[in-house]
Amino acid sequence: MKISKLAEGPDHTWYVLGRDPDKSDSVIDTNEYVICGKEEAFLLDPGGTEIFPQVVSTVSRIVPVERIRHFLCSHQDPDIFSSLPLWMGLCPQAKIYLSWIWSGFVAHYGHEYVDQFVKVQDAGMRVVMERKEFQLIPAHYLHSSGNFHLFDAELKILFTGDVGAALLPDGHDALYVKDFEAHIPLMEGFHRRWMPSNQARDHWLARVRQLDIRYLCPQHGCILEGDQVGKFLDWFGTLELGGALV
Amino acid sequence: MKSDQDSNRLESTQKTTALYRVCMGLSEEARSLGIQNEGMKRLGLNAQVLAAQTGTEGSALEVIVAEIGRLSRGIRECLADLTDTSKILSDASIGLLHLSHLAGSLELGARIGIDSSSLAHYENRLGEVQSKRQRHLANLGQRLDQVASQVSDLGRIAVKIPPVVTMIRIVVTEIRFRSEELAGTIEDLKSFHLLLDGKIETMSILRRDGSRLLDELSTQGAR
Repeated sequence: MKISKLAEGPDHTWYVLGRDPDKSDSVIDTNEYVICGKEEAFLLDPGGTEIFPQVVSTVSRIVPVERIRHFLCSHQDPDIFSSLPLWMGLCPQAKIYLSWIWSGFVAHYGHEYVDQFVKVQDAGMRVVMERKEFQLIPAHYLHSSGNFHLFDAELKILFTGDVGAALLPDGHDALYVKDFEAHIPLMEGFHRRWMPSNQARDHWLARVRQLDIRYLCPQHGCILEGDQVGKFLDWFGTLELGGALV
Repeated sequence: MKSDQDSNRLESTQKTTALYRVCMGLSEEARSLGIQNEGMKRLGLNAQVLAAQTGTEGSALEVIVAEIGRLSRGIRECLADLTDTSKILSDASIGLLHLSHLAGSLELGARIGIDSSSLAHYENRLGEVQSKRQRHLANLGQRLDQVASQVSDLGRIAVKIPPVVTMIRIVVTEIRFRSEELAGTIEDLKSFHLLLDGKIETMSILRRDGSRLLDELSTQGAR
């Protein structure tokens, strides 16, 4: 798996992992994000069981795995956190932040860890790691009905789960978008089909346009940076969603 | 390398699932035999009714009634133990499937490489899961041995049925009392005996399959 240092502040650093060359063709490629503080680490959407061996091997090169004290489960899909029992066996003290509506569902991956669930209410919440504050931004119905993104105001990074995701062709191994216009076709089908609601999209756009974002980091596809972020928000705002009904 | 891992994992999963099916099969055999055994209890009740309707010949029938009752109770006790064991086996085989999956993923992570800063912690966890899996395998082995012993108990009860049939024949031929009803009881007992032998054979096969799968899973490792 590739590791790339995304951004670094005085007390914490973001890394992105992805593009595993040994990944089975039948499994959708995912990006995992690690936020490392001085003593603790935060793993965002750690991925499915299938890719756990590669992810844990790669994460161990960044941080001792027992230091992971926080997991974000942005929504309930299996590629997000079906590896729950594997990670929680290694990091039993870690908190898992997830929408309150999914706690009973995600428990199917490993019910013995429900005491570690932090059931996030619809309005979102602030998460503190080593006095560093992150915001869980509501992104309901994008695509999941209980969905959260994570914003780091200091490093201006918005982790957006499936928003901004792209289905990349074989051999596309770049972690960052090089040419936004060329990247649109890779995102368009995904957003039209997986995102069900224009209203939800508009609600989310109104909220995130108030944030100062340098990196927009999806769970699939490539990271958008700088002015690509604004271009993406404008493009997304014009898209007709709910493709299966059109 | 990836396809070898995939096929090993698939094979392990298939064997563990087959083991679960064996355990469920044992449970189902015990359940259906329990239903048939209720029918056997009715045979005893029928004989009891016949005994109550007669005078001096009744004493011979009461011996038969008591014997059928003993057989039925013996089978019921065996089946209760067998059902408990089968339930524990089924649960343990699901646990084994889960642990094999965890151990497999953790072992693969170790093969890909864990940084030295995490290695001790990681190996500790891997060791825990592997030990737990071994304990599950050992527990399953012990329970399957119990099944073997419980099936043997059933076999010991089964061999007592032909003498009861002979006893009824004697009553029929010597005292010619209600021969039609008793001939029916003889046929029912013979059918039950055949069924019981069949169930014992099926359970023995299932138990042997379970032991074989367990041996293969023990030597194969998690993946």
